[in-house]
Amino acid sequence: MIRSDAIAELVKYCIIGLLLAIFFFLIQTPLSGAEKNKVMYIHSAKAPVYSRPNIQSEKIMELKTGMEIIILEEKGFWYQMTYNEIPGWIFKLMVRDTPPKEFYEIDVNQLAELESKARKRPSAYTTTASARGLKTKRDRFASQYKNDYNALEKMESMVISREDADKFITDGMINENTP
Amino acid sequence: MKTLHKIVLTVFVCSLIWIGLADAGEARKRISSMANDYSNLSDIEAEIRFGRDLSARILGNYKLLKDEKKNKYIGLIGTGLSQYAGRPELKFYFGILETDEINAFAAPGGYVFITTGALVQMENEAQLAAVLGHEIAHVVKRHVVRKLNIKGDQGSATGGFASMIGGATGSFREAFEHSLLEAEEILFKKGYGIEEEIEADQFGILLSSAAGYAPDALRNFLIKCKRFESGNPKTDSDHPPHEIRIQKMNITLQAEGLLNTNNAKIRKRFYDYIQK
Repeated sequence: MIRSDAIAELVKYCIIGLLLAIFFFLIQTPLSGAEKNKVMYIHSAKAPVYSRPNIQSEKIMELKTGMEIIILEEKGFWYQMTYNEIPGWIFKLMVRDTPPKEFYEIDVNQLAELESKARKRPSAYTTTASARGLKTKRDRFASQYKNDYNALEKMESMVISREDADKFITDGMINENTP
Repeated sequence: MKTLHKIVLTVFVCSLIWIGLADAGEARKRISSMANDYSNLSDIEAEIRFGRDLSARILGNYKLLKDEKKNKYIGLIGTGLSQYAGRPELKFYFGILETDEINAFAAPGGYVFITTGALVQMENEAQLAAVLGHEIAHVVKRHVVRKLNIKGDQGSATGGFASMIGGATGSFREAFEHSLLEAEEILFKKGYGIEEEIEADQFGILLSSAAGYAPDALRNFLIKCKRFESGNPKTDSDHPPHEIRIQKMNITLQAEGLLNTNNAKIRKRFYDYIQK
């Protein structure tokens, strides 16, 4: 037979235990959220900052690749941040926690030459692949999908500057809004 | 009372363990994300070289449209969008494929293709921007790169890939060719997973919206394409059912307050360049 005061004591200690668990949960949340006030870096060439997490809100400024921002909060696709103490909201996709790499451009002509040499050595691959049972699969695809490096080089030669692209898009937007 | 103290102690200890496990999980997640970053210079070089060869296969399978004006138009819109994309180390290239298929492709390293069949179905520049944004997303999020573990160092199946092209050993060349076959299967047969497509849809919406285009353009284009979805082998059968993607896009547009915006659609210029 359990005494009623013992039950009351049990409930009391359970509540204390629960409160302790809640206490530690609350402690843990800021630990995970130590991301707050962390420095992050802009990774897109253009990163608009808005007054609210909505593209229809006021555009406060536009940041550029490599700029450091301080993250205050995250919400859906957005980070609330400050840049030079100016607060705003920015798309997460434009931001990462490491500085961006330098613009990386492979010399396409050199690459084309190297690949041309590599393509002239199919026999080594064919032999090894055949030994590993890959040849049948490769041949099936090889007959289905051919290479066209000339077309690729033509596509790569159509160089468009970021400035020209910007101007073209902006002009389109202006003309759209002009009656 | 000793029993009660034990209960309290148990709850206390359980709480501590739970917190410990949560933090350890977080730490594991961070370590794992560092290991799968694919962002050192040799990884990027491998990505570009792999994408270049895959693009040559795409262009071997479809013809590049010989219309400089149209290709330049696509390039201007795509290059403009890519500036919002968060991969400043990549140069993006855009081309039109001459085929009635309604489709678009992206190869790692920044190569983006759209078909004449897809362009014919579009109604304005915002829809073009949204589709290009969707394909840019596959590149930015490294969907093929991650799936096939394309890395420049020795830590993957295509390990040493960056130095392979110029002086390839048989085994590197074999791994490279095998990965190309798998990438072709993803692009031309199997398609990406539905999570990757939905991620690319969301990214495409945000990217084209940030550039000033109407956020609902991708959804509207997909609604139009939905009628070609079944019974026509020349449609974009590699992607998950349009209905699911449209539903997910509606949720995103609603949640982000992107419905009924005044953003641009740009119909006339699109017709001048593409439909004339």
